[in-house]
Amino acid sequence: MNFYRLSLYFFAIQLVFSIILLGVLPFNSNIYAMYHTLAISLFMLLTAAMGIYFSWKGQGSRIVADAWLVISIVTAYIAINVSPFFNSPMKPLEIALTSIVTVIWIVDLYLAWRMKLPILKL
Amino acid sequence: MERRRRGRFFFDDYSLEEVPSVERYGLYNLFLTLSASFGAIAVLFAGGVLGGGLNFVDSTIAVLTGGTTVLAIIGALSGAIGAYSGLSTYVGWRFPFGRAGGKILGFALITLTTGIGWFAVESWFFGVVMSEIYPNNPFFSVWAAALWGGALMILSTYIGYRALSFLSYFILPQHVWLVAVGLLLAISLHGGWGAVLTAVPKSHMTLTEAITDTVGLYIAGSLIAPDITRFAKRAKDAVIAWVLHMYVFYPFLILGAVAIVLLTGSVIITEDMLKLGMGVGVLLIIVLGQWIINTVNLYSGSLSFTNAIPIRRDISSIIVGIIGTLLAAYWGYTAGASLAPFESFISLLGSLLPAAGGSVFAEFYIVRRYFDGIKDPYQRFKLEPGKEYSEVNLVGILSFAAGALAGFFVPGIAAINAILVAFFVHIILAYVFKKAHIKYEFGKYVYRGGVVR
Repeated sequence: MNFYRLSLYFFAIQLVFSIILLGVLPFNSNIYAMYHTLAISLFMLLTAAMGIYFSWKGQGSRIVADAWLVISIVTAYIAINVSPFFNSPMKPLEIALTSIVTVIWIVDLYLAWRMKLPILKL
Repeated sequence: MERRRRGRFFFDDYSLEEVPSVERYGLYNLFLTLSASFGAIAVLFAGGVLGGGLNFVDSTIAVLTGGTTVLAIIGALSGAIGAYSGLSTYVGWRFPFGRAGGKILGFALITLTTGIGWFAVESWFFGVVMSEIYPNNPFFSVWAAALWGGALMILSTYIGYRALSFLSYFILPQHVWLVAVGLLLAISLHGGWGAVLTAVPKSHMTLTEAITDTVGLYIAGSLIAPDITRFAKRAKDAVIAWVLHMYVFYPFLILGAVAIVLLTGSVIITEDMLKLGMGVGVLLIIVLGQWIINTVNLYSGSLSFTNAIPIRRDISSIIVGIIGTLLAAYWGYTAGASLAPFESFISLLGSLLPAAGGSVFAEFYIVRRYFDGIKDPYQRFKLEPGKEYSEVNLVGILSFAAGALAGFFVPGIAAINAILVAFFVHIILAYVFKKAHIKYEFGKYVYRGGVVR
């Protein structure tokens, strides 16, 4: 499948996930957990919007840069969110969604590498 | 032929020659790689020193008007030289100091200090932190963790700029997020920003002392910026990336640490985060932070080592890295050994670096431009194969000595004094020698194109 089309789908999935995370914000029992989830939701929303634009325009190196950024930040979010401090009923859902996002961008980077796009030279 | 050439240069990273335009990177890469190179943990600890003596408003003034602006200017000037010349800092030093002068200064001021000294200290510290997080585990004892941590850092340095890029893409945003969340949480739980603004420091520090500290923390990084910016596609990218990272990350991290100290009296943000139960986050901050900063330390150390002793940079990274790692493991094994005398020694050597920077600025921006009439900045520090260059540049050596003395003896901000004195002495001496037709460049060597085995 075309890399740009696939990236577009991936970004669309991320966009949906970020909206779901925004939707579950009121169910957080801890204000710090809520702020943390708000931050990651907005970050995912913004990078998904940027990514959709890059995919639409066929800008491969920018898609790759966006993918690196998402993987980096989302894994940081997961690392902190496993802390008992961020205890929240929505935690399993949040970790599941962000883990899926991490996996799809690792797959996307792999596909970019297979397509000989420079994934280390931005 | 192409394959041989690729093999020769793949890990050598153009250590003794100009980085070709096809191997250069864009603004985003430069921004992340430079940001990664300052090491967030060191900045957090430096913020602790400020917070111990100044209130938050004064600290902000010291950091923004003093430290950040001064460092942004120096790093931009330095970074632009790297982008124009495509040469590492130490190969570039062949112009103001001559080849022999550049080799000796590079080896003394960078290989010994950053490459071996600070690499060993950071590796040892990595071992200490690991043993505190996982006590009673032999794999995480100080000497064992220093050994495997050092090996990990040597591996990424062996690969070179590509590995540094990878670390930057993946680790830097993650690192900043982890530290930011930790800082914001710790501040929120200790009374919030209102309490930060009204908090009174425990001791007193003058604004000049604070600016000296903030400048001194990162002056070495600013002056060896060409090690990274030589990979910039355009000088403009190098300058923008430098200034941007100075104004985005540096004040945020240092002022965050100031806030923590003012509220809690403890700068050890990682301890605060551990108390919050953020075990994995803290582990990532320490491991990744140390990994990045030590890769940069060793990368510069290997470049300066290769400049002094012409072997491939990847090989020199192993040599320098093994010496540093063994030192760290030895300190870890002989628990109780004090690092203070060693740290004083490498700090002393490191304090001479700004003087070298002043001479380089004078040579590139004034002497080559106005005295030698080379308008094109790409030609000012250009090494051409088959052409003769000098072994020793007396003007550079004398101006370096004058700058170093000023750094030690003139009151004020030592690093700035050293840079300014070396800068003006270099210009004056070059002008006088040229007007009087006195030869100040001695010895000749023919540049062979940076071929190393």
